[in-house]
Amino acid sequence: MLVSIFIVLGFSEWYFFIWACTAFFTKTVIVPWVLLKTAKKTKMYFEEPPLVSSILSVIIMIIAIGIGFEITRGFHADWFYIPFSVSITLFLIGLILLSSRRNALKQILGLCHFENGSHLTLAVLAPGLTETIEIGILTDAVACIIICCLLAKIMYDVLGTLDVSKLKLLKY
Amino acid sequence: MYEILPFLINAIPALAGLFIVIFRKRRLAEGITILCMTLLLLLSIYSMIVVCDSVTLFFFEQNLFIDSFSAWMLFIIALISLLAAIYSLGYISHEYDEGKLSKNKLILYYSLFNFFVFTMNLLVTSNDIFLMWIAVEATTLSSAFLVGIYKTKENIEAAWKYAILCTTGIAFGLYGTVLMYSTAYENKLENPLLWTYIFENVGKISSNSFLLRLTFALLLVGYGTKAGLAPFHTWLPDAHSEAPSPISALFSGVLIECAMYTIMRYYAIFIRTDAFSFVKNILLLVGLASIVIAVFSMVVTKDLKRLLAFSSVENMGIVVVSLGFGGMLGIFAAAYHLLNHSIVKSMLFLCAGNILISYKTRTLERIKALKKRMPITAILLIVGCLAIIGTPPFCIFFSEFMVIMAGVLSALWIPLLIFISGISVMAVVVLWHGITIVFDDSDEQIEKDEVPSLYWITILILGILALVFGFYLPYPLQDTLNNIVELIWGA
Repeated sequence: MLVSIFIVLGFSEWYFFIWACTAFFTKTVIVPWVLLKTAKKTKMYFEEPPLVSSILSVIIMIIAIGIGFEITRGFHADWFYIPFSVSITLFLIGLILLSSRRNALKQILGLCHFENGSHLTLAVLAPGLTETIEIGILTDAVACIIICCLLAKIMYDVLGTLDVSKLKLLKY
Repeated sequence: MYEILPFLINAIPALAGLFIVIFRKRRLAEGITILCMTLLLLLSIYSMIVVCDSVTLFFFEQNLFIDSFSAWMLFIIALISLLAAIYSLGYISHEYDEGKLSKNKLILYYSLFNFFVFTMNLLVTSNDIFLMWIAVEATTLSSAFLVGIYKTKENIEAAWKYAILCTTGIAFGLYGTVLMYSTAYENKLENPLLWTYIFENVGKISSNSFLLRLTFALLLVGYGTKAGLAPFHTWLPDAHSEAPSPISALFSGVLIECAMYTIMRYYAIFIRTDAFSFVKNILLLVGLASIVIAVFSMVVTKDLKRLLAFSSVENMGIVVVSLGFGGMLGIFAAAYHLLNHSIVKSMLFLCAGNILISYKTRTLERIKALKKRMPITAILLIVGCLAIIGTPPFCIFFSEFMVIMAGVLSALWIPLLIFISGISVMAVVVLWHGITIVFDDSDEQIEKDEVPSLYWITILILGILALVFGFYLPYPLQDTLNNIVELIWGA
């Protein structure tokens, strides 16, 4: 989705085509490969029941979409209204996934949504950013996902589960 | 010739980390780390002397720079990193001999140590506001495996929380950075990416007040998470307590100070905008919340390192309250407290490392009779406790006193009262635990089990610095501190 948004934006500003290419390689190729590899190594075939039921999750996501478009309503006349709304929505969806999912890999997926949202906001609100900075931020995001996947694998090796609700050892 | 300094200060630890990974030899790793940190300390002092006359060194199209504030932070990073590296020689060797760390883990430790220092140096030498954000994120990524290096259940929990919470928090910082850039870009600033350009041309920024407030709020959430400010601090006690003690010293003594540095950089911009009163109020609120929450947590905690970690939350609250009180004295006290806290807290965490080696536990109830079992560590611990609670003539007394004076000058009596109450309760808690650990003993015969001198010599150096910096800041530290106030507050 992010790649397609960048391609569409590329027809108004050419540098979005570069963003589309980098987003394709990182978020369509590298990140899914890392996640799938981690899922195979941790034998994650079934997700632990989330803290919020499926129906309630859908309702919350719909509210998040509404909030995302409402927040950016002031920019209605500007060309970036739709992608900006989508970026805020993605950010909120990522936050919801991070807080409602018990499975570590699902939390990492939430982190991916989160990062996609902030990446799209960056593209829309920060024109003229040098490619080096854009690549730097993207690399940071991908490195973060990789490190979280490695930590998830270690969690599985040590705890035998990816259920983060079991992480309750550190208290007062 | 000086212009290469920003590059060197970043390149040296990065290359050191790389060499350690390539050659994978234990003694070489230790030697490279010590050499690298020594070089960095010398370079940081040299940088401080060069920029003392309000000179700024730029490199790489002004994306990297060193001014007085950067030089101040580089000195703190280099000093604590060198002492933590020397302490690591004994501590990590002990962990290796006990079988808690394999040779691969040992190599990983030293390489990540150097990369971690590189990311912190990059943070404080970044002039590009997005590069600053990248560096903050990179500090999390480079240190996550240092937290989880032992691969125990508690370790992994701490590392996971650290990675997820800090990444989530820092993402808000990215939104703040984007808004800052966007505001500067809309106002047609020549180079809206660079902090120096935004700072020098902040008068040209006309933006609606709501947007400026939102920008600072997002920046505070983002970098405040990394600085361990409440209520975003929940990762801090876990990560600081579970990491190896030299890394805990780096976390509490350097990392959170670097995040606070970023907040102060943006404070310097917002001090010149219409949103400044909002900025001061929100900083006061967050700072006092940090102090109060930390103090309550310190009362109930049963773990020595968690106690020290909560004290770090409290001390970052002190820095933020000082900025909230504002004025030249508030800014001076904030910058001065960064140095003082880094020295004293590192000292305490390294003491905790010694205690952990001997007692093999961090549980406060089980650590008793330290004066009989480890007399030298006991003395150093008591000195550290007296220093952290602000006893004269240690350095923290002077910075906390300046914060109180800044509060009096600002005439914010209720926040000042909460502040004084908070630090008083903290003092009682820390002193009580310190006295119990050191002097509380039973009639049983206790065998002396002091650690070798390599473990306590660095703590002794920190103790001496805590005493000396209380009443004498040698050139160029004093001038640098004055330059920081002039930079942020104005001439």
